[in-house]
Amino acid sequence: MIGVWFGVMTLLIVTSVMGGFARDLRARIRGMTAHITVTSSPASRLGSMENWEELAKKVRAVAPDEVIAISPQLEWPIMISHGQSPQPATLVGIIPDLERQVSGFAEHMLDGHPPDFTNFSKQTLPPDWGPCIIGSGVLANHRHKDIIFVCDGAGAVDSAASALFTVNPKDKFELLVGDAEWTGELNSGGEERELHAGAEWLKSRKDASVKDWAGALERAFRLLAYDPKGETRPCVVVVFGKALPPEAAYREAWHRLPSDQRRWLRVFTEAEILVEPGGENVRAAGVITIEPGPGARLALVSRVQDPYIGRSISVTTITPEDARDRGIGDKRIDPTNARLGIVGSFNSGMNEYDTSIVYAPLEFVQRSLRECLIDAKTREPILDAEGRIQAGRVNRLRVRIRNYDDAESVADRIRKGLGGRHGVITWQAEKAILLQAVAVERTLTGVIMFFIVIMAAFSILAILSMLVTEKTRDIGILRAQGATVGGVMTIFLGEGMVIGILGCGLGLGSAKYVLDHLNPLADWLYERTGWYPFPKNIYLLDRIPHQMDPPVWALVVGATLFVCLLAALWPSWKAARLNPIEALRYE
Amino acid sequence: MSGFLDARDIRREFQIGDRTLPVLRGIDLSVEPGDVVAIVGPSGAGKSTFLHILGLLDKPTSGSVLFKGTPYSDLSDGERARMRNSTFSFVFQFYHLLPELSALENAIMPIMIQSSILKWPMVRGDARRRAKSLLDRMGMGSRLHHVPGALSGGERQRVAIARALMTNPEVVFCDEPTGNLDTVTSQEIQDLLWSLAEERRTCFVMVTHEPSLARRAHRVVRMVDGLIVDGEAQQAIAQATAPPPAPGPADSPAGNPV
Ligand SMILES: Nc1ncnc2c1ncn2[C@@H]1O[C@H](COP(=O)(O)OP(=O)(O)OP(=O)(O)O)[C@@H](O)[C@H]1O
Ligand SMILES: [Mg+2]
Repeated sequence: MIGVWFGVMTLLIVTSVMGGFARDLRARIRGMTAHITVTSSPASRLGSMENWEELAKKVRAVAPDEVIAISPQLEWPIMISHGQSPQPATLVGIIPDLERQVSGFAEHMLDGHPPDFTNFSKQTLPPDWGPCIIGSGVLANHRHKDIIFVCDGAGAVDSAASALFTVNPKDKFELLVGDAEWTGELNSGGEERELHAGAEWLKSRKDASVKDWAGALERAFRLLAYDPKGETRPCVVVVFGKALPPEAAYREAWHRLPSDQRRWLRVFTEAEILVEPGGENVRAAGVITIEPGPGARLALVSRVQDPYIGRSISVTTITPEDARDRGIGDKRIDPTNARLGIVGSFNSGMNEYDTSIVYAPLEFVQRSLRECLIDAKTREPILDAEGRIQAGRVNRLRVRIRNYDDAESVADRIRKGLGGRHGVITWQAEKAILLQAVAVERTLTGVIMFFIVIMAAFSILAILSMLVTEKTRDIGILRAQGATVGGVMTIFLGEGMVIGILGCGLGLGSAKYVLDHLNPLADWLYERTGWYPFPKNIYLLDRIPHQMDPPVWALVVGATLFVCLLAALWPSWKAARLNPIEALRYE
Repeated sequence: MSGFLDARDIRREFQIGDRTLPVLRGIDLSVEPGDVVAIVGPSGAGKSTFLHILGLLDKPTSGSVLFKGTPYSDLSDGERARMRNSTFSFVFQFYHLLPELSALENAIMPIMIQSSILKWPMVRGDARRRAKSLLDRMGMGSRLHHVPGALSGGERQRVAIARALMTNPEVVFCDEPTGNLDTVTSQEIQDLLWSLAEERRTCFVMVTHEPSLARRAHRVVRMVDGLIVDGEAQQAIAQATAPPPAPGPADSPAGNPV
């Protein structure tokens, strides 16, 4: 029974977690990848997208019932310079209102606010800057981000603990809760363990509360201002609390600093914050920016969990690797620089997107590219196959349809409807390899797991065989009293089924329990052993997913009971066939 | 030929390795309704084997047994099981009670076996009542809920007898019912069996080494070496040569070792 129990339990847990992974992965792929993508035809990629509104109308007309939303994109490879080394990324020009209907990035904004480029109004941005929304992993490679969290007790520590993983500090982090503080060093390996230790420490301080905000902020500022190496590096102070400190508390804290430290920091007045880049947005999000003094660190004092807001990046457009497909041929293009102020960042859970995508308003990208599409040698504008300037366009349409399972058939209709001059691919095709890998992995585990059930069935076989031997005399007695072959067999089959049913019941119950408490159990395991079965910053999920799929559970239980029945059959048959006299003689 | 229970030329051989061991070598016996027949004979004569064949627990190598004119060989497995349950019953030397069940439950067992799961709740009350009164009748009224392990040998045999009578069988087979009991208990069980046989007019076929029990039987059949040595006439010899020679049963060391 224990065998059946554990067999069923592991089988259910593993399939459910795998199922959960597959489901979450697919959902995330779907969330971030449009159901259907229409690209330019291979021959003249950009030319045919000259008028995207027209094309979008055609697509809609092909499948008016299925197509829900269409979003144009102009996507171009860039290098980001931020800190020391440039880093490749993809600049995607979008119309936010349309893009939000197609892709799910809006639901993954770190600060929980809907993305809105207009928060970065023209007045608050330098005229040649553009606003952008970046994947949370885009800047993560830039080491030198220190973090100081100032936390109120109950309620706030949990969000601080999870924010610790999303903001992904690089060198060092300081946590201040009430009177206690904790320092994590991240440059000596074991980063993940250090983050977990910090998170645990935060969670253990639920009871602490900040009575004196000015004092707490003063401590944070001292840490901020303390700079033994004299290096300048960005640093973030994030304040977590049910009620945030009044602005006066910041000022008071600043005034309490010794004057030599005070010069590192400057606290802005409300009016001054407004004229800062991102000030508008920053204020809307409940963020107060403290501008560093000359040579000082930047401190962003923020309640929200988005440490990127208010920072800026420089991007340089580059010649894409697939230049030929884009109709540029072998011409080199002029790199163009643009400066973007970050108004938000998203964490979609899809590493591929989170580390590479920089969203910016469509017209801004179009404008930047118009400048860049100049042949570096001849200084002539680059023309496409049809002799038009390759600018002012989009290079793909993202389509969202009513039911993502229909993507294949709808894509077919669109392909035909557009006369074959466009590439039309579905989200499954776009991510085929990943999806296949997951499916294969799932099937394989299923097969392996089923062997566990077979093992459990053998334990039933063994138990019943022993029982038959042990009860030989009793079987003889029953037979002498007129029990039929069928009757004796029923008894032992029944016994087998009782074991099977009890095992399945216990297995079901404990699997349900384990799955319901999966994350607390994982945390507990981490506390005891220091081993965390589910590294949060690898999977970019702060919970272990699972999916309790009733048909799958029914299948597992049904198959197990069936195997148990088969295993019980042989011993029962043996018992029923016993010669009653031999059985009675048996001692 | 009575037409009630007839054994005709029963032979039974056992195969031991490549040797054939003839245990019964052609036995004829007829039993009348209400007969109390005692089978006596030296150990190894084949008495138990014969009794098992009569009681449908074993099949003969050749020869046939007829009950009310129907040969056993015509019966299906199901019918044999039904007859073992309701028409015949057995009392064994070693009681053969189920150790997990109480005295009362052991006595009810044959009824339980004969009724389907659906019918059982309906007959259960009645069966319990009858089992109680039977056990009462045997002086077991205060031991109804003891498991066999908590009962003495004599008490266990009383439970076994009650079990045998629960279905009101037409023939009760007893294989050395007192073989395992001390003299006094043995005497009590004998008296009990005897009075039950008298009052119920049930046919009893019993194998016994107790001359005192055999003497009370309507007929005594003596078996030697797989054959019947003529019954009635041999009774005197039986008494004279029985292993525990016994005019008085008082100090004979009855019973086999367990
Ligand atoms: N299953 C068997 N296989 C082989 N030989 C058997 C088997 N059953 C009985 N015998 C042999 O048959 C012979 C008769 O056995 P049986 O038990 O019928 O004797 P019995 O007259 O009842 O003796 P007792 O008075 O000791 O009980 C014995 O020699 C026994 O060894
Ligand atoms: Mg015997």
